[in-house]
Order: sequence, then structure tokens, then C-alpha cells
Amino acid sequence: MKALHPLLFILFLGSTATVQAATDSTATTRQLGEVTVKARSNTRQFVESMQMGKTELPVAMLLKAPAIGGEADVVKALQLTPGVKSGTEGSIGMYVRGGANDENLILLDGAPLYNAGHLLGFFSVFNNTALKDVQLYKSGFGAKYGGRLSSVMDVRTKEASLTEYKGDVSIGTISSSASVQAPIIKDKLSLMVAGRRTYIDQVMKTVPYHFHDLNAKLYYMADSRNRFCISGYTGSDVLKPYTYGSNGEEKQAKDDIQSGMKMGNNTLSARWNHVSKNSKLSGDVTAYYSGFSYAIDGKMNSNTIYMQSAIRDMGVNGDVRLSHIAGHKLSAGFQFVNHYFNPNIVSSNGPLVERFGNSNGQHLHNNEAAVYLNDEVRIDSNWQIAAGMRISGLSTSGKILLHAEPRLGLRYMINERSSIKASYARMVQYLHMVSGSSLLLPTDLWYPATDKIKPAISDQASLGYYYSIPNAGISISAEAYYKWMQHLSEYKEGAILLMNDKYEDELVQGKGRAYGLELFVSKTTGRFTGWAGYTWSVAQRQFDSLNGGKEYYARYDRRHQLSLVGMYDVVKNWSVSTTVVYATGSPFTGQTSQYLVPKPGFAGFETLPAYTGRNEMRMSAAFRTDVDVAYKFNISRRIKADAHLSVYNVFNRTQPHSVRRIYDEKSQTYKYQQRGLFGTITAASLNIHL
Amino acid sequence: MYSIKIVFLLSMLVMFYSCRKPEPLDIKMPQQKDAPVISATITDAEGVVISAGYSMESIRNISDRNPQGKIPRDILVDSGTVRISEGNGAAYSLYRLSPGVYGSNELELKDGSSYTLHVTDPKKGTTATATTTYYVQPQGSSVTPVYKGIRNGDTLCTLQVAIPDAQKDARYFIGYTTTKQLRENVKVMSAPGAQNMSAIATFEPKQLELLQSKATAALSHSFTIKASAGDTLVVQVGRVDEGYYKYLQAYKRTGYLINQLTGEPINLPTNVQTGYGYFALCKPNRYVFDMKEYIK
Repeated sequence: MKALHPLLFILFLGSTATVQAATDSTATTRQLGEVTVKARSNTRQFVESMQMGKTELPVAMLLKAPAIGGEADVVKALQLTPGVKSGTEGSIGMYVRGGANDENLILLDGAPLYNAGHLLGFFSVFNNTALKDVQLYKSGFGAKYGGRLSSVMDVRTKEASLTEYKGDVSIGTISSSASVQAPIIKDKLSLMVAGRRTYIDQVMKTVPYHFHDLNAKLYYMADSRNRFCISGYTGSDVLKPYTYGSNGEEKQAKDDIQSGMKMGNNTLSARWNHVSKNSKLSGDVTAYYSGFSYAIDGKMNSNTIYMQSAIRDMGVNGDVRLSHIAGHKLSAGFQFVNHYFNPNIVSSNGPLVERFGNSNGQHLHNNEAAVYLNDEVRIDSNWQIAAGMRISGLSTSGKILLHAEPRLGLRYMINERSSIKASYARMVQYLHMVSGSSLLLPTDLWYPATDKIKPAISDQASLGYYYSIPNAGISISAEAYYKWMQHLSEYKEGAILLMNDKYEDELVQGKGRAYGLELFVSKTTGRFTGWAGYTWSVAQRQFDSLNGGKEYYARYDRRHQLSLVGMYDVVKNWSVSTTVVYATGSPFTGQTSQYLVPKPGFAGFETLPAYTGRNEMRMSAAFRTDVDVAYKFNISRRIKADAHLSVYNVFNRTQPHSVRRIYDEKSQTYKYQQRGLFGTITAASLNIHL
Repeated sequence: MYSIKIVFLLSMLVMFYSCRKPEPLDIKMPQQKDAPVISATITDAEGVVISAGYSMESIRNISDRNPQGKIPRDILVDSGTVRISEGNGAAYSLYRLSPGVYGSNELELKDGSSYTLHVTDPKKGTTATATTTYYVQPQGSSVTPVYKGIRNGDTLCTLQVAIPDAQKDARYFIGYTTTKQLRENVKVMSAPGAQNMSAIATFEPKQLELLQSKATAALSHSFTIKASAGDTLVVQVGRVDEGYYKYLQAYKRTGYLINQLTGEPINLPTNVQTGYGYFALCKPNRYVFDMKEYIK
């Protein structure tokens, strides 16, 4: 039975059934005045806007891409777009244009999220039923964005309808989610609440783990010029204390070992949106709170240890947009946030853990602030220029670190269908995530820049060509970029990451560069929709005290990456979607030699390994095909349904994740093997629409 | 409705049987060998002993040629020329004591002086050099075991180490082991391939404490170890130079479980040019305790 656990887990992971219910409010008819709506199609927007390096795909389309275990996830779909690389197979880690996972600013309704993953990062914290819009920016950052080097992912949740009730219920074997949209005061006030919870802990008692999310959004339209939103999110991963060895053969273990864990995010944001009487001025004010904490407790016989770390942000942002000056789109704003870090709270008791001691942890308070000004100037019908300046700063260790972050963009319309764009952006990051793993571990800690650890800086220049075929809903782009990075942080070799108050002593700083070419084609209308993305890229690092000072490839440097995502309505009731992903293998440090030496003080002998230079070796390429087949049918006149059969990694190919040295009985020598995390995973799901 | 149930059950069946995991892929790793490997110690009789050998391919099972637990001869500098020169130009030749082991008791080591080791193997045509600084060991250091009690079957003792004449910025190491563990080491040497020694590649806490004195003053340190009444405990306290201290720091860190799981592999620092190991001249003060005298 034990051997079946992983299989069952995967089975539960995949088989989800969704029930959606929508209840219309009592229909009332109102006569509306005539309104002229001017809207540019997405494909035209794609060519004409100043923005480059932005993923222009609607959420609904992203969520149609086949996913591992049938669990659609917006972050995993974004990993299939050019310039975004995933870390560990199946995880939500994002490595954008040669950047690290902590270089992505993830905003949920304006509040930053410090840990966007559940279950070691295999699920994102975003509940699909609550999502309205997701924008990912990789370059050409507007001056309003800052604080991270590589990307900005701006996630917005749905505002509930002011006129009608709606409900969604999703029931699966591993998780269930539900959302309700309700007008509280018709045409004035509405509330959206969405929740999700896994219950593998209820099915398999040996896995006392669950995670849950709760989103809520209160929307108030005071009048046509003033709107208010209050949005909240809370989510936790909970591993209840569990006694290992409490069943079967494991009972033989003489030690009584227990461990538990709880980690989670909480965010709360309040936004006021105002449009002036003459509609020439508009603006937002957003106040937010964001907190992330984890707590781990362990017990081994008479030894007990409790560890906790937390980070909390309280901030306020203001934006003003002016549109009455001919040929100008002016925007300005300010941002202020107070960061509070409280890492490494420890309580230990017992001889084996006494070296951890007892500590209230550090209490670090930092203020980060920025002001910005941005103007988009229309020079003529072909040329448009955007210039912005962001001045940001951090108060830390009694000092104020100030940085100017210039932004520049240029667009030239070749004709109605095509344009060329160029941009330059400097980004400054005042926080570092202290982590030693590709997985999102609860022990990953955020720390501020100090007088010893300088803020990281990136300068990115991009050039792109954009072409659209509006009638077919096709967008095509080619973007090249070069990114210089300074003051990147890495860990000293063998750094002690856990329970270390002197984290500054464990970090070293260096520089990096990344460059590449991204090709992207998308089709968003018709029976066949989808996208294709190809990336050729290089990401390198250089630290004086690592790898003998020699430049080396970043951990997720992959020379080529190709993603093909297609959705096709075959006949009336049948549709199929498929994903094909190819990526050059990740670099790694390999063991090439070994040597025998006495232990210090000649207390016996041991064999020590010798390795290549850092990341000099490369794993085999990863190739994967996923398929989802959907069949729509009617259960009754009122109840419609669609059944899905999705297969992840159809050809059961190994997606190399790690390299292990194993003993080969046949040859009586060691050999090296690459292993993946998952093979073929088939999942069925059923969606019922009431 | 009946047909839907059938479709659903069939889907579940397909799911159950089609979940599989692919076989791992072999990967060829470039193999390197014959880089010089050096280590050194000073015996109780004030003799300097150097071990000189070679690195070997990482895929090699080093117990394949030593069923008797002996170190394979081809990874030893069997008949080389080994010489130590002092900063002032004086040079001493070392005698071959056994394959790969060379020694001399003619060296007059001076506190704070630097010494360079030269190893030449005429058979393979390799040479290795390494330089270190010698420091006189602390004179009045002491180690006191204190019985702490039995917790869940483990007998625990605290080792209280005192160095009354510590120098400012001086670096010290405290190593501890038991004669039982030393015997285990010998057993590991003769273990079959599958259990071959690769202590650093698997989790093994390094029995090592490192200290650096902030001032010229007495230095003390205490820590808890597991021991049993049948053990003979061997504790060593020695002063080392900065380079060897950094080597020991890195060596110790390789034993932390968290680094085994999440950290980058570590190439231990070396002062052997184009080779591995560490040439350090340190004669630690050794303390031997019959633990039955301390454990009630």
C-alpha cells in the first residue's frame, strides 16, 4: 500500500470535478443612455501601444492550456511564454530573462506577495475562479513599477457584479473551491468571496497536510467618478504535527519524531479610483498590508524546537493620470512602504538542539519609497516616445540609499499592422530572498539591503518588431534584449542558511548579464487558438569569490526553449488542446574526481569529491507533450457539462531535474543518472454548469 | 446517465493504469584523475609526516582493488621526492616511510615561519607545491569531560575546552573522536562498493569545532557530545593558520544537512597547486579519556 501512495496522490491531484452555478438576479430592465464605445482590438493594441515585453494573453486562454494533473494554473501557463523559464518541473518558479525567482514583483490587487506558492511551489496561490486579469511585464517597465529586477506580474481579482448574483463551485478529490458574487446594494455595492482548500489530509491520514486560500473583494461605486475596492487574501499551508513511526514497519524506529509546519500569506488592499468632473484627470490611491510568515516545530524524543520568521509590509501608493494635454499622456505618483522583518525566532529545548538557543529573532524596520513621473508623447502619427523617471530609496542601517531609475520607450509605426519598439529600463531591488533551493521552501527568507549588502540593479535594453493580422486575431513579435545586472547576491560556498542572524556574512555580491531573442505568435480568435514561443537566451554570473572568479552560467540558463500551445474545436462537442515544450537542459556542477585524505587531526580517512567549475555541465534536454480532450454534453435541459481527459507528459519522457551518483552493481563502478519528478499523469475532470 | 457513469469509470481506469514514471537517463560525466593530493601531520615525536597521493575518477569504486582494506597503490606517490623548504632557504628532504608516506624528524619548526612543500613523482612526472605557516600550539590548554546524563538512550557529555594563552586573531580547531569510531573507519575502508565511503557526499556531521580568539586572553568553549562508558575519547586542540582554518570551515559545512539538501556542491579550498588536500603543519594537543571514569 505504501508504494501506491504517490500514485494515489497523483490520482487525487488530477481528478477534479467542477460544478459551476450561476444564479441571475431578478431580471430588471433599465433604459440606458446611448453610449459610444471606442475600443481597439487586442491585436491592434499589441502593435500600437508603447508597452513591450508584455504577455498579451487573456486569462481564460492561459487557463485552457493543459496542466499537470489537470490543475490549470495561470503561473504555469505563463511559463510557456517566451522569456519565462520554469525551475523545478511542475513548480511555479519563474526565471524571467536570466533573472532569479526573487526578482519577480508579484502584486495581488496592488499588494506584494512574498510567497506565491503552495506545497513547495507546486501550486500557485491564485484561485482560478477569483481571477480577472493577469499581466506579466518583462521589459519596458513603466515608471510606476519598481522594486524587482526582472519582471512584474500584476494580478487582479474579479469585482462582483453590481446587478446579478453569480456562483461557482468546484469539487475535486484533492481540492474544492467556491466563489460567490453578490450585489449587496444594487448598482452600488457588491461582494466577491472565493475559497479553495485541499483535503488530501482527510483522504490519506499519513499526509496531515492541507492548504487553503480565501479571497474577498468588496466593490463600492459611490458615483460615476468615484469607486472603492477593498480586497483581501489569506492563505496557509498547514502540516499538522505528525508522529513518524506511528504505523506499520516504521514503528520499529526507536525515536519519537514529530514535526509540524504552518506558513502563509495575508494581504489586504484598499483602493480609491477617482475621475475628475471633466474626465481629464484620473487617479488611484491604494493602501495595503502584506504579511508572510512561517513556523516550524519539531520534536525528537525530549528535544523540541520551534522556529518562526515573518515579513510584513504596510504601504500606500498614489497615481495621477492626465490626458487633456494634446499629444501627451502624463502620469505621476508616489509609493511608500514600511518593511518589517522578524526572522529566526527560535525556541529550543533539549541536548541535541540546544545549540540553536532561544531567540526573539531580529527586528528590522526599513522604509522604502519612490516617486515617479512618466509621459507618453505622440510626436506624429508614426512616432511615439515614452520617458519616465523613478527616484527610489531605502532607509537601512541608519543610512538612506537613493537611486534614479530612468525609463525610456520608443515606438515607430511602420504601417497599420506593424511597428518597431525599443526600450530601456533601470530597475533597483532593495530586498533579497535568502534561499538555497529551486523549490519554494518555507525557510526561504527575505532580507533588506544594508550598508554591506547593496541593492541589486539591472539595466535592460530591448528592441522588438510587432506585426498583427487583426481579422484573424494573430499577433507576431520578435524581441531581443540585453540585461546587465549589478550587486546580485549569492551564497558563499557552504553557507549556513538556517537560523543565522548574521546572514550578511553568508552572502557575496557579484554581477550578471543576460541576453536573448524571443519569438512569439499568438492566435486568439477562431476555432483554432493558441500560441507558439521560442527563446534563445544566455544568462551568466560573475562573482569574485565564487568559481575562482570566473564567469559561469546561471542555474536556469537554457539556450533554447520552444513552447507550442494549441486549442482546436474539432467538431461541435469535441475540442482538443495540446502543449509541446522543448528546452535545453539546465546547467549543473558535476563531480569528476575523488580523493582520499585523512580527516582533520588524522582521525581516520575519508573520500572527498572534486567538482567541475560551477554549472559547467548540462543535463539532457527536456521534451514534453501534454494533451487535453474535452467533450461537451447536456445532462438535462438546464444542466450542461464538459468532461476532460488530460494527459501530462504523454510520451513519458524524463524531464531531467537532478543528477545523482549511484553504484552500478553490473560494472562495479559508479555512474550518473538524471532523474525527473513526474512521468505520465492522466487526469479526468468533469465540469457541470447550472 | 448510465452511459456517463460508464465513461467516468472507464476514465478513472485509464487514469489509474496510465500514471507511470520514466526511467532515469544516464549521463556521461568527464572523468579526471592523477591530480596530486597532499596532507600532513606532526607526530608526538616531533616528526613531520606527509601523505602524498593522487586523485581518481569519480566513478571508481576504490574498494575494488583493496579487499584487505588497503589503500590502492596506484593512488599513492610510491617513490617520490619530498622536500620541505623554510622561508629563509633551509631545505629538508623527507624519507619514504611506506608507499605514499614520507617523514622527517629533522625539521626545526619556528613559530610564525612559512614552509613550502615540494613533491615530485618521477614515475608519473608530476610535481606539487604547497605553502603553510607554522604556529606553536597553545601551552596550557585543557579539556574536561562532564557527564550530563542519559536522554532517550543517548549518554551525553559536555566537553569543556580552555585555552588560557590564546593570542589575538589566533585560530583553533577542536576535533574529537573515539577509538570505536576509528575502528569503524577501518571497517569502512574494507566495505563493499555499495557502502563505499563517501562521507562528504552523504550526511555526516563533522566532529569539529572552530574558534577564533578576538583578544589575547583566555578562551573557552563547551559543547555536548554523545559518548558511552565503553568509549575511549580522543580530543585534539590545535592552532592553525588562516588558510587551513578556512579549509576546516568549508569542510565542516559540508556536513550540514541543510547544505546537503539544498546547497551548491563545494570544492574544498586547497593550498596544493593544481591538486587537492591541504598542507598544514599543526601538532594538536591530544587528550585521551577513558569515558568509564566520567560516565556513572
